[in-house]
Amino acid sequence: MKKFYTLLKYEIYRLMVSPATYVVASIFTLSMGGIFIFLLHDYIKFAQDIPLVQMFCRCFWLPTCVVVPLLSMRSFSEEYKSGTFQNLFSVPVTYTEVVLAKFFAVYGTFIFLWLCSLSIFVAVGARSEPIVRELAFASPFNMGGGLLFIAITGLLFVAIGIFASSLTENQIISCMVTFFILLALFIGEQFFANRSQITNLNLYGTYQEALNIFSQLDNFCNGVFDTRIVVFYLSTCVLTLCFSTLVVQRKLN
Amino acid sequence: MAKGDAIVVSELIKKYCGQVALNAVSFSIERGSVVGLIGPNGAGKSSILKILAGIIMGTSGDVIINGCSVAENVMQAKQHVSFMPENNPLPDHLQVGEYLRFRAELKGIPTKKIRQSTEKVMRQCDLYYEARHRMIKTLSKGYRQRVGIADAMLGNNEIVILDEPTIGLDPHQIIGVRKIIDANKGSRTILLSSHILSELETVCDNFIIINRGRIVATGSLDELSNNVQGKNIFCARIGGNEQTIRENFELVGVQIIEFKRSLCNEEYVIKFEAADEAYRLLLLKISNNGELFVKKIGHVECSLEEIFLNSTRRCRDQDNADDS
Repeated sequence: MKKFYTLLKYEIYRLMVSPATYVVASIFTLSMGGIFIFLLHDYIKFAQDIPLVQMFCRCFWLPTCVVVPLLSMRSFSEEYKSGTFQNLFSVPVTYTEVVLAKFFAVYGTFIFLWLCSLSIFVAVGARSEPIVRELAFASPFNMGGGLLFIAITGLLFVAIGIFASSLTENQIISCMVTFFILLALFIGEQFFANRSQITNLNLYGTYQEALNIFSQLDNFCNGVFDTRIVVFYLSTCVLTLCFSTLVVQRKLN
Repeated sequence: MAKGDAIVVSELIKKYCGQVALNAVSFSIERGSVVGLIGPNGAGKSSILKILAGIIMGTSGDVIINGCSVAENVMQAKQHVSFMPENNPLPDHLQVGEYLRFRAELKGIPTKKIRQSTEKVMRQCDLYYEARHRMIKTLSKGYRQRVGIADAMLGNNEIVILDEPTIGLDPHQIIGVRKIIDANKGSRTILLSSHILSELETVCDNFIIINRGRIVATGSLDELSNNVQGKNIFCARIGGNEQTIRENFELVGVQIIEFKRSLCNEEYVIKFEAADEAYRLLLLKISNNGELFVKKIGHVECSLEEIFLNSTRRCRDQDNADDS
C-alpha cells in the first residue's frame, strides 16, 4: 500500500508540473463558467422547472469528452515513449499498483476540476443580487446529487482514458480513442434509450431509464440513489482497469 | 544450484512473437563476483538482463535469484535486484534528489534511511554537489548515466545489473564507474553488459559471451583464452640462424604456428604450441645452443576482444554449417 501512495504522489506531481494540465483546467473552468453565465441569463429571464444546478450538471458530457482524454492521454503513452515505463517495473511494484495510481491521479484531478467549477455557484451566489443568490443556492441537494453522479460516472470515463493510454505510445491517438469512446458512450446510450422508447418494447421503463445517462443524472439530482447505476459504473470501471492491467503486462513482455 | 551462486539460469527460452531471442540459455553467477555479459547487437543481452531484473518473463526455463524463483515469486526476486536499463530513461520533470528519493521509496528503503541512502549514492556518483538540485531534463548524457548508476546502487540489493553503464561517459567518468564497481566487489554481485571490451576486461572476474540467443562461452579470461586458442600457446623472440631455430623446434617436437622474421636482422618471432614438458625441453635446448639467444619468451595472453571475435565467429560458422 505504501508503494501505491508513492506512485500516486508521483503521478499527481507529474500532472501538476505539466503545462498541459493547466491548459486543460483553464479550458474546463472557462467553458463551465461560460455555460453557467449562459444558463443564469436564461433563468433570470424565464422561470424553469428544473433547478439551475441540475441544468448545469446536465452539460457534464461536453467537458467530460474533452477533459478526460486530455488528462489521461499522458498516463501510459508518455511513459512508453520515453522508456521510463520499464524502469518503473524494475522495482518491486505490481501492475495493478501502477494502473491504479495512474487512474486515481487522473480521477482526483477530474473531480477537483468539477469541485472548482461547482464552486462558481458559491462564489457568484455569495456576492450577487438576491435573485441570483436564490437561483444559485436554491437546491444544494441537487448539487450534491449531481456531483455524486459525475463522480460515479467519472470512474468509468477515466478508466476508459487510462485504457486508451495503455494501448499506444502516441498521446494524440490515445486522446482521440478516449474522445470517440466517450462520445459513442453518450450518443449510444441516448440512441438505445430513444429506440426502446420508439419501438415501445418491454425495454421501455426498464432499460430505457437505465440506459439514458441524463435521466440517471436527473434521478440522482432529485435524490433517487439507484444502486444499480453505481454497480454498473463501478463494475465497468473495474473491468476496464483490469483490461488496462493486461495491456500493460502484454506491452512489457 | 551451488551454495555460493547468486544467479542461476537454466534452460531459459524467450520468444518475441514466435521469434526466438534466447535459446535454452544456462549459466550461473557466483555471489560477490563481477561478471561481464558480452555479445553482438541483437544477441539477447538486454533480454537476459530484463528477465533477471524481473521486468519481463521468460517463455520457459527457470531463473533463480538468491534462491528465489523469478517465475514463481517475481516480487520477492525483485527485492534482491537493482537494475539500470540500457539508455537509462529518466523522468524529466524531477530533480535528481527527488528522483532518487522516489526510487528509494519504491525499493522499500525505510523512511528514516532514505535521506542517508540517497546522499551516499549521490556522493559516490559525484552528483551531490553539482547535480542534486538540478532538473533531470537539464542534465548532460554523462550526468544522466550517473543518475542511473546511483539509482542502481541505491539500497541494499545484493545483485546489481547494469546494461551499458559506461556508454556516453568520458574517460574520467568511466574511471569513476570502475571505482564504484570495485568498491562493491565482493559485497554485491554485479552483472554488466558493455561493448567496451577493454573496460570489461579491467573490472570483471568472469565473462559470459552470448551470440544469437545462445551462450557461446563462459569463464574467466584465462579459461576463455584457453578455450579459444588452445592451452599452451607461446610466443618467442629468438636471435640466430633460421635453420638452426627450426631444427631445435623440430627436435623437441614443438609445432610452429607462425614464424616471422623481425624487423631487426637475424631475429625471429615465433608463435608455437607446446606441452609443458616440450616447452621446458625447448628452453633448455635453445639456452644451451651457443648460436641462438632468446630475447623474449612467454605464454600468449588472448585479449577479450580476440576471444569475443573468435567465439562469435565460431558460433556463426557453426550455424552456417548447420543451415547448409
